[in-house]
Amino acid sequence: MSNTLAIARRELSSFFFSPIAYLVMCGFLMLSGLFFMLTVFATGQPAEMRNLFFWMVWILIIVVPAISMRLVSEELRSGTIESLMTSPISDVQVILGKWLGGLMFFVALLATTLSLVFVLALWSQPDYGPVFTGYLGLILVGGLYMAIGTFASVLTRNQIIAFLLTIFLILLLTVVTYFLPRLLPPEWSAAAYYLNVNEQYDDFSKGLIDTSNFVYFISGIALFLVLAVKALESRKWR
Amino acid sequence: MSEHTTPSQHQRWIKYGLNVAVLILATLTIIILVNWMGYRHFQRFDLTRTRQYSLSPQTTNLLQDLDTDITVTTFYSAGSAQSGLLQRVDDLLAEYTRRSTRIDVKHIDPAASPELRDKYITKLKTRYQSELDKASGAFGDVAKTYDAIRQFASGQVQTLPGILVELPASDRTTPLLFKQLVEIFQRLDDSLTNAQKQIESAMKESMPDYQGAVAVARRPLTQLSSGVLDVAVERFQRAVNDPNMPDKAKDALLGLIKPYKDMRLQIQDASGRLDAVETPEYDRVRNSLMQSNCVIVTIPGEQAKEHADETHGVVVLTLDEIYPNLIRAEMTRGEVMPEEGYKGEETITGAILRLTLRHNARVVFINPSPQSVLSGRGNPQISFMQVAERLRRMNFDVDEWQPGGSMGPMGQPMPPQPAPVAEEGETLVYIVLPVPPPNPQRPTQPMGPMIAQAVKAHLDAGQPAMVFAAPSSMMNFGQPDPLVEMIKPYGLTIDTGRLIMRHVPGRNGQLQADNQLILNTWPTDHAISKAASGLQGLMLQAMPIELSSNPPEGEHLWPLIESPADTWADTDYMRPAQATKGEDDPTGPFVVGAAVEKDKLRLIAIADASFAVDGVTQYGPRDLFGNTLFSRFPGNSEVFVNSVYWLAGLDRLIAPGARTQDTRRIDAVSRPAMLAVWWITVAGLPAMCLAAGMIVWVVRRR
Repeated sequence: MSNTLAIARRELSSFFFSPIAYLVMCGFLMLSGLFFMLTVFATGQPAEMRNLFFWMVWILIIVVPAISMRLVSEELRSGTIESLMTSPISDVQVILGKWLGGLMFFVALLATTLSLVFVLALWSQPDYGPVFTGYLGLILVGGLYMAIGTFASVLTRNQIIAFLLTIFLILLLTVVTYFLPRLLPPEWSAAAYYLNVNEQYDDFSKGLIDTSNFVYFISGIALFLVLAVKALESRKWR
Repeated sequence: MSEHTTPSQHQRWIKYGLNVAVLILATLTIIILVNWMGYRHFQRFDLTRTRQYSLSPQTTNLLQDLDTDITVTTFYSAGSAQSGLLQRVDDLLAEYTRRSTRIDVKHIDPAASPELRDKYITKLKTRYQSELDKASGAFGDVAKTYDAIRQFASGQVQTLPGILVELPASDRTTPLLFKQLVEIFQRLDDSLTNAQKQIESAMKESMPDYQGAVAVARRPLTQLSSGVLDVAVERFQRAVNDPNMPDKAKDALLGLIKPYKDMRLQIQDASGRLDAVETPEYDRVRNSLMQSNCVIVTIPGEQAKEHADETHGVVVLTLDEIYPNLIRAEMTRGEVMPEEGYKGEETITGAILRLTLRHNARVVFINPSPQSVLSGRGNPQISFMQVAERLRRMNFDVDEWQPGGSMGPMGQPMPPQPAPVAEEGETLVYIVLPVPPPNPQRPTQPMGPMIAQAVKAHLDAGQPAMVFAAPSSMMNFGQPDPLVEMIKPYGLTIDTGRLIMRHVPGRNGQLQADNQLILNTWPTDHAISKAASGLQGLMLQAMPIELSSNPPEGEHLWPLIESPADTWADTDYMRPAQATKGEDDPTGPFVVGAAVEKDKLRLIAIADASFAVDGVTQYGPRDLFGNTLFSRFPGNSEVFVNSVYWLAGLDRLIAPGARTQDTRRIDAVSRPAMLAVWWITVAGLPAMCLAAGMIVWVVRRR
């Protein structure tokens, strides 16, 4: 566990030392601010962040892969992965540490948007329950996307390819699972809808916590982390 | 000594690859299983402040009090384009089952399980057996009529050629008619057989279309009666009157007229019996089931028999009725206002109440105007259709008494009916609308004293009433409102000479007086108004009510509606915009609505005649068809309906309903503030991040 946390800490600090991370943060805040002003902040509108959360889930499709693309692929490109693999740290610890570091940076990124909640609170009395669940849901969505990104970054030493592969996999879980059910027979379409990340996030944005949504995100994270571990492991026998 | 061989690259691939494949497969299986379990057995926590996605206290109370089993059957196909909506309905129904063991939710997918659908439909059909038996009887009569027609037609095919030879050669039209008649009668058997086959085939369906079958049955009868027999009789008559017609032919033609007329009478009789086939409730249920987009709420059959009303123990709700605007939103992927979320629960709870609520209460609006306040043609500024509809859904009989007479369908004056009186064991709630002051130029019998007398007698009999008052300038001429005078002894004094005003910013930015009062808070002394907590209300012509500080012994007084604190009561209400707050004008908050209870007597006074009119309760954003999406001022309707429940003694129904939700909104943002927020959120905060990044970059470069 301590190894995992050490890797996570190292990842987190490396994010904060990289100007690219600040660029990502700047872009994320700018887009969030824009959608906040366009969809939430207007006289007489309901004092809730639901519309912003809806758009933030879409913004994450670009933002999270931008964070995760360098998690492992950078180590592969620079060759530092070899020293990591020969050190007394297991593959599971490496992947978990990398994922956790990326997620911690993502949470920090998300925390900057709390300034928008503060702005909302200046002109209204928002209901903080849905705000809390909305952020909780975003962390879970971010966690899932980060796990996908970690898996993609293990597969290639090229960050751009890792970035594009992550986006592709995320689009499968968002756009494809949205349109696919319309083409499937009824008994399969419900399952396809279930796979849709936005559908799973919807309850959180309303102020609801549903255990089935939790199960979906946690199991999704677990699946991609297992895949990432196995992909990293395969380097030893390929 | 064994010999070790190093595995080849290919063997390593197979060995480790298989290992990984098996592990990934096992992981996937576990994940699918866990998700399946999570999907089937889940817990939901509503973290919204007003429990927006949980059932309201009113529904919870109702479910706790249920003394009968309720079955709710969803009748739609999963995986349709409206899956989000269906999920919402499923979630809502799951909440009901969690709250009461009396509620059983069943799902029937008519597309996936046609056998289940047919079985359910057959079971449901038995509820309408009495209606359907009458219809089946009518079809039996029609079959007999068809046989009689066949006999008649075959007889005519034999008879007409015999008469044809008697006709004079000069007559060219009658032989032609005979020829046509023979042809028609020869073909008639086929058309009757076809109609019968269509009827039989319709009756064999799991849920027969009775109205469609009636139309099919009627078609040959109508064609024969008006298209053939009427014409034939008229032409025979004309031929008989022809002076050139030989006597023998005349006799033969006269002999034809009677059986034709008899046949016509027999057909009219059968048509009359078909007209009597009325299956409105059954048709509604059938149409909804055929569309496969409904939820059916039922109580057990034996209880449905006890429940001798038109529901037959069944209420069918289409998805459009449950979530009207969500359907549209679903189709356009548009967002809906949070206020619309209440409709699903209100509709389903309303259906359960309709099936289970037993009371013997009736509501009568006492309307001094000849113009109805309950008809569809009503003016929204005076009509009470929305609240009346809500009461009807709660099994109240809602009626109107117009002591001055009413207007007929063509606008003609109708004489007044006698005052309605409560029957034995019945609770009759009078809703007394304000009486206009007497007009000296049109002296008629003053209605005010007559209505006041009727209401007084009603109250003395221990029956409840709600009295509305309107401002009256006659007060200044020493002619007080008789209704207002009548309620004074109960400790309620309405000052009809003053209107409550407040200052609002005018167009030029200066403050001006306004009599429109928006209510954001309600007194919490009584359950009626407490249940409206969080709902916005509106008052247009509010007047102060003074509650007696020394009420008679045993009498209780509660304020139900209060004006905001920054109000005053002004006598210059004819020109409210020009009114100014005088030093002598009393200042708010004022009581505008109050309830009185003494022993069995219950009385409510509301000093605003427009408090519950459609113009206020239905005020809100509208869709393209002009239907109100949701009310901006739901507090008015809620307080009115709760007041009726209280007056009728149904106190248990008074609880925050589904629509009671505190939708918090963003306050007015000035232009400069908006501009500042734009700059800060879209440029300022991101720029700060960028600056931090640049500092880090510069520091690390050093």
